[in-house]
Amino acid sequence: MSNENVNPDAALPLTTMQRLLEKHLDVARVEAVYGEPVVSGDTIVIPAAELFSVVGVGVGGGAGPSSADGGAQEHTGYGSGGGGGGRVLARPVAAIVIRPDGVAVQPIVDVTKIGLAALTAIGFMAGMMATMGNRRHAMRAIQGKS
Amino acid sequence: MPLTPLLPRIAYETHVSEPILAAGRQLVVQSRALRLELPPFGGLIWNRPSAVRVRDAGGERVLPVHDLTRLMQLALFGGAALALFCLGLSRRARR
Repeated sequence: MSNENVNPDAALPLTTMQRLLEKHLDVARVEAVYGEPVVSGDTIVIPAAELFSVVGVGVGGGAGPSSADGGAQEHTGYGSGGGGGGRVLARPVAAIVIRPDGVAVQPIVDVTKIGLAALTAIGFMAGMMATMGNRRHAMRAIQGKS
Repeated sequence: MPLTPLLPRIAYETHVSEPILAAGRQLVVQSRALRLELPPFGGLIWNRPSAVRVRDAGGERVLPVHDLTRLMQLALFGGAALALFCLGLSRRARR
């Protein structure tokens, strides 16, 4: 295929995707994790958060001849497209408290997350214990038959 | 805009901020980022605060930033797994 038939905008989706990825990479900066200092009287608080960002993109394109007019004249066309998606999750982790008498890092505890983790752990333990108990009963039943 | 080479990359980086002057002290905040880049398909970044360097008249010290929520979650899951393992061992020993 000769180059004169290629759409000059063919690389546009790729460029757009790369721009999106570069914006996504901004999450890795230290300024993304620490917030702007908040001043209250003689106390300054700097919030700190954990960030998780994921992005996925895809592009595609193709060229080929067209004979829509019954093959009287040969055309060459090009089409391309792309799509993407992503998500950024942020969770507060700590607050840096600066007072005239010192600097302290105050952790931020998410009680809901810990509660859910406790429930999950209890559920997992109960399920595994039930499975272990059932297996023991089955083994006894097999041994009793034989 | 020039296109940069599209190569997969995994990196664990430490980033530091510009010094912050507050209450007669100099603070430098640090973060650690795990980057997984799979261009042109995407990538992920996990960035979290790691420490605060405080420099004052008394010298320089580093205050670590701990994620208590994550530590407690891991402790709960680890404790549950350990308890199950011990329970399984004790049942096997009884048989």
